Amino acid sequence: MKRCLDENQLMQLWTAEPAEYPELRAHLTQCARCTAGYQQLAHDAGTITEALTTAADHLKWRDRAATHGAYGRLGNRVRTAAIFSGAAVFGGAAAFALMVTLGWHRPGASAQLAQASANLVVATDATISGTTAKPAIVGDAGTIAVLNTGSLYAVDALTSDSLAALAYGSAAQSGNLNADDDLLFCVPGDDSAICESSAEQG
Amino acid sequence: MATPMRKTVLVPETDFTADALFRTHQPRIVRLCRMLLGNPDDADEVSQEVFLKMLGQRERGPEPADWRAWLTRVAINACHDRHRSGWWKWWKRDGRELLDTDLTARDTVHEAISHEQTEALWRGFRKLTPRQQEVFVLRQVEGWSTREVADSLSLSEQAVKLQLFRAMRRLREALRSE
Repeated sequence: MKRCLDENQLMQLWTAEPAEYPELRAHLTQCARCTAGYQQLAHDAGTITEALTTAADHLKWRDRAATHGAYGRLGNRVRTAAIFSGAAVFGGAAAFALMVTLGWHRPGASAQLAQASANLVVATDATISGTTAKPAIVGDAGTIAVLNTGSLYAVDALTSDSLAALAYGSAAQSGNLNADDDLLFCVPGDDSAICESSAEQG
Repeated sequence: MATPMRKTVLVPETDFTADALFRTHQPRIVRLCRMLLGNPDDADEVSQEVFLKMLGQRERGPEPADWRAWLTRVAINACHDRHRSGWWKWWKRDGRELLDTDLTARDTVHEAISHEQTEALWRGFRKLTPRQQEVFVLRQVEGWSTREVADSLSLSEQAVKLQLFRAMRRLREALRSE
């Protein structure tokens, strides 16, 4: 080998066992420049090792607050805030993940219908095109359960939800007697025609 | 010729040997832990754990053939564990830092390189990966062979050379930066 060794090759040689890279070592013995580079590397390694071991023996604490004053104290507070904020975010995320895992979901129409069925009467006005209406379904005892979430309900929402069917029982079924079409119109105070489908409404 | 010291020893032979092991290896183990952890308090705690394990090993047996290598290996593993569970130490540090050393002109290394260079080297060493630090300490400070380091750290010999190569390159850069 005639080309001189670069620094990476010298370090490769330095980290290798004596029997490795005979070609590079042969060049090293013949080239004064490479030999000097290798000796410098070995000297640096010795210096670095000695410096690090000496530094480790003399390691000591230094008061950062005394050194940096207000900046150091501010850093401590920022660090504290960061740790507690991180912990709060992590805790919230963990709690949410646990709730989702356990089957929690946002209360929808089904849950509200279930609550309405249980209470039987929840009086809340709802407005359709300027007129006041009370959406309702019929309970077991013939009473009217008035829903509090709006005036128009898709029939599918009443019929296709198995959970709702279980929850309301005959109340939901009664509410569906006239549910041939898409929408169920409920008129307050009219017991004879509690609900009409959108087809009947025209 | 009789040895009068033998007659005055009251502790059992095993304790004497444990004490001798402690006195022989304690400074080396503490230094090793300081280099790997960068923290004198942690280093003291970990070195005490190491020697407690040594006492336990002596009781349980079998005794290792080479206590020096055994203690070094246990210290490396203990430092490794401490690294993994050390996040709360960072929180506990509370306003103190470890970038300073009390090097004086009496230290021999101070004659070769400046105080600033020593601190730059120390900071550079702290920026190495834990694996690079371990390899450097075992190869350069402890004087182990590549094979011994590889066996101890469960690495290939090539990986040990690569880690040492990278560590040395960064440390030389740190040395030249000041």
